[in-house]
Amino acid sequence: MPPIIRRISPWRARTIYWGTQLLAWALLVTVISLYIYQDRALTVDQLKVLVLFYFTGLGVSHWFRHVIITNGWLEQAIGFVLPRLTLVALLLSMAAFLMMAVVHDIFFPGYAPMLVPDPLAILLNTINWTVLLFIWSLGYFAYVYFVRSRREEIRNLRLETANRDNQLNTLRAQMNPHFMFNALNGIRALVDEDPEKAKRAITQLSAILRNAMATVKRDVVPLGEEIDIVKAYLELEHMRFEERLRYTFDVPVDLVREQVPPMLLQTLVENAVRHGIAPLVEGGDLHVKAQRSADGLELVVRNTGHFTPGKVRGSGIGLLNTRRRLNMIYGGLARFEIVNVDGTVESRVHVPLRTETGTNTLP
Amino acid sequence: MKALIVDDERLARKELASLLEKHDAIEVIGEAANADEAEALVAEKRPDLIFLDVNMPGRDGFELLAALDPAPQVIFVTAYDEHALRAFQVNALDYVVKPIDPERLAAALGKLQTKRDPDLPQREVLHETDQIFLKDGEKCWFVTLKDVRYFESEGNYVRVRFEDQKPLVLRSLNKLEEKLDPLVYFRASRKHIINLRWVDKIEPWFNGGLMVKLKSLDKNGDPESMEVSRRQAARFKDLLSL
Repeated sequence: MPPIIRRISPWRARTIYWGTQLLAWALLVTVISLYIYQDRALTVDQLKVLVLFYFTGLGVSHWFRHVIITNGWLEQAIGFVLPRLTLVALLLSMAAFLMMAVVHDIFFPGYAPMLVPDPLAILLNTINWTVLLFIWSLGYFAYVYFVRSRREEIRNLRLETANRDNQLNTLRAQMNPHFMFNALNGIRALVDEDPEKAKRAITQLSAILRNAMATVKRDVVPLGEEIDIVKAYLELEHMRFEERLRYTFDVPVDLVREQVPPMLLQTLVENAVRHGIAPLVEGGDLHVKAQRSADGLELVVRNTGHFTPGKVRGSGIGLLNTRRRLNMIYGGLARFEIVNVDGTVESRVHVPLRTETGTNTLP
Repeated sequence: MKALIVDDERLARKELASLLEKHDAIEVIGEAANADEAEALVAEKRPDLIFLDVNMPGRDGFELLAALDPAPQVIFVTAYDEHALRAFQVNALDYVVKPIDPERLAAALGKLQTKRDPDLPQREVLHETDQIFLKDGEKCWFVTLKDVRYFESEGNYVRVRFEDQKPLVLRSLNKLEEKLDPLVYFRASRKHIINLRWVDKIEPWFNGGLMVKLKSLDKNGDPESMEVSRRQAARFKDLLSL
C-alpha cells in the first residue's frame, strides 16, 4: 500500500511562488537604484524606468516558468533541458528588451529612444536579460528540487515505518497473546502443583517466543524445526485443556530436512485448536501429518469439528494470510484448502519441494 | 460472601482458588467448567459472586450471565480478548486479566457491594434493586431493575427501556412478569410491563382503558406514554389505591 503523501495545497504553492517572485524582483530593483544613488540622486524618470523594468522582469520570468512547466522540463534530464532552456532564455530576453523599449518609447517620449537600430546595444541588453533569466531559472529549479527531495525523504520514511509495522503485526500475530497469557496463567498454577512440569512449560514457552522472533527474518525453515515448535505449542495447550485435547503426529524422519515456510504448520495447528477443539465442551482429537506427494510435500492438520467458512470471527483473516504468504513465496505452485471429512476438519497445504540443498532463502 | 469460579481450565480454577484463600471474606463454594454446570450450581447454591471466564466451550460467559436472573455480582476473568473487553465499555463491570495480579484482584474485591441483607428471605421474585444482565448482539449491559422504565414485547423478544438504551433480548413478557416484583412492575397490556415508580400521570382513555404518562421524555420531548387495557385498568386502580 503506497503511503499517502500530503502535497502542498495549490493555494499555498501559488502564494509561495508569487511572494518570492515579487520580493526577488523588488530586491533587484532596490539594488540597482542604490547603485545609481551612489553617484547622484534618483530622478523621477529613472524611477519610472525602474518600475517598468520591475514589471517586465515579473512578466518575462513568469512566462519563462510557464514554458518550463508546460514542456515538462522539470522531469527531464539536465542534458536535455539545458540547450532548450538557453534558447528560450535568449528568445524571451529579446522579447523582454523589445517590450520594455516599446513601452519606454511610447510613454516617455521626451527621452532618448531605447529602440534604436544599434546591434551592439540590442545585443548587450539581450545578454543582460539572459543572465537575469538564467539566474532566475537556477533559483526556480533549485527550489523545485529541494521540495521534491524533501517529499521523497518523507515518503521513504513512511515506507520504512509501514514495513516495520508489518513486521510488528506478524510478530504480534505469531505471539498470539490469548495463548501466551493463558499459558502463563496455567504455569502459575503448576508452580505449586507440579514444579517440574512448570519448569518444562517455561522452557517450551521460551522456545515458542524465540522462534516467533526469529521467523520474522527467515523465509524458510527445516520441517523438523517447525514440528518441534508445534509440539511445544501443543504440549502447552495440553497443560491448559488437559484431557480435552488429544494429539498425534505422523511425520516420516526422511522429511524433517525439507524446507517449509516458518509458522505455516503452526498457524494451521493453532487454528485447529482455537476454532476446532476449544469450542467443544468434550474437546477433540488433533492429528498432524506430513507426506511426500508426486511433486512436493503435503502437510495435513486434522481436527474434530466442522468448518463453516466465515462463521468464526478472525479465522478468515488467518486463512487469507496463509494463502497470501504461500502465493508470495511459491507463486501459483502451492495449494491450500480446508475441507470437512467425516466429522473432522482437514487443512491441507501442498508446497513444491526444491531439489537444491544448503540454501536458507528462496530467490 | 459465597463465590463460584467458572472456567473451563482446571489449572486456571485452581490458580484463582488459591489466590482467593488469602481473602477471608470470600468463600469458594463451587467450581464449574462450563456454562451448564455453572447454571446448575447457581440454582443450587445461590452464590453472591461469580468469577467468570469469558471464553468457554459451549455457551460463553456472557451467554451464561444473560441466563441468570437476578444476575449475581460478577468479576470477569479473561486472558486477553479485545473483543470481550470492548463489551464492557457500555457499563462499569470489573474484570481481572490472567495471569491474575493479586493486588488487582484485591482491588476488584474491594469494589464489590457488601453481602446482601441476610434478613431478607430468599426471594423468588426480582426486586427493584436487583441487577439483570442483558446481551444484545455485541453489546452487554448490567442494569439495576429500578432504572428500567418499561418492557415492551416484540414478537418473541422483549425490548428493555432504560436510560437512552433499548436492547432487544430473547425473553417472553409473560415469563418476565412472573419473575418481577408485582408491587413495582405492572402488566399494563399484552405489549407492556411498566415500572410504577416512573409513572407521572394517568389519564382516562377510550373503552374504559387508561393512558399512563411516564416521567421520562421520548425523542420528541413528549412524556413517554402507553395504554393500559380495559381489563388491566381495574387492577391498576386497585393497586394504586393501596
